[in-house]
Amino acid sequence: MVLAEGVEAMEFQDLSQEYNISSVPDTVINAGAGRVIGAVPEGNLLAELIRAIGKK
Amino acid sequence: MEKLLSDSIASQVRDVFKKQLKEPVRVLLFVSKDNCPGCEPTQQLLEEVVALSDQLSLSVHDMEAEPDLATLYRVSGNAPAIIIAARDGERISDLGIRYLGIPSGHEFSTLIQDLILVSGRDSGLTPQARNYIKGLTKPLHMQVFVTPT
Repeated sequence: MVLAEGVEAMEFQDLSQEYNISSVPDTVINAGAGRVIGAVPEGNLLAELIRAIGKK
Repeated sequence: MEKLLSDSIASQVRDVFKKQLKEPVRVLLFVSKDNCPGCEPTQQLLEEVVALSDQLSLSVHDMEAEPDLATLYRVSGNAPAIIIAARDGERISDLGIRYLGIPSGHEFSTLIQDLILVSGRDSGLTPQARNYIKGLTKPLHMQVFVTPT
């Protein structure tokens, strides 16, 4: 159900361009439904997941 | 062939693995013959890393030659793709944890941490996050873009 993928931004420039990655880390959730820039505490990531894809 | 890991790094990582690895981990590397300058160094690096602990093993797959396996592991054409899976005896469990690219620089420590995390069989997440993930009814895909520097 959950896919957590690290992507080397320089090696996969097509992906980086698709999401306009300009600083790292940058977390793209479900192809852009959600976004978290920077290394954030777990609670912030969870809040963005809830915002982007709903409570459940 | 000249090693990618120096003796001193190899010995440090071996010590860390000895102290921190618990259960076996299988690393699957998906490579491609097509335009993949990163595939060869990644394979060599992973071979050197798994040699540092009996708990670690590696299998290397060509994503074009083994399309069914690539689909099973949700590998979509980007190579190199490194899957860090749990191994219990002959059984391999994909936990959805992967890295695309050469794990060099800072990403080398991320690789080591990922191996330790999967080996411990515990995400370390808060109860709130665990509950949320348990309740998911649709797939969740998180892509964390990183650079080695």
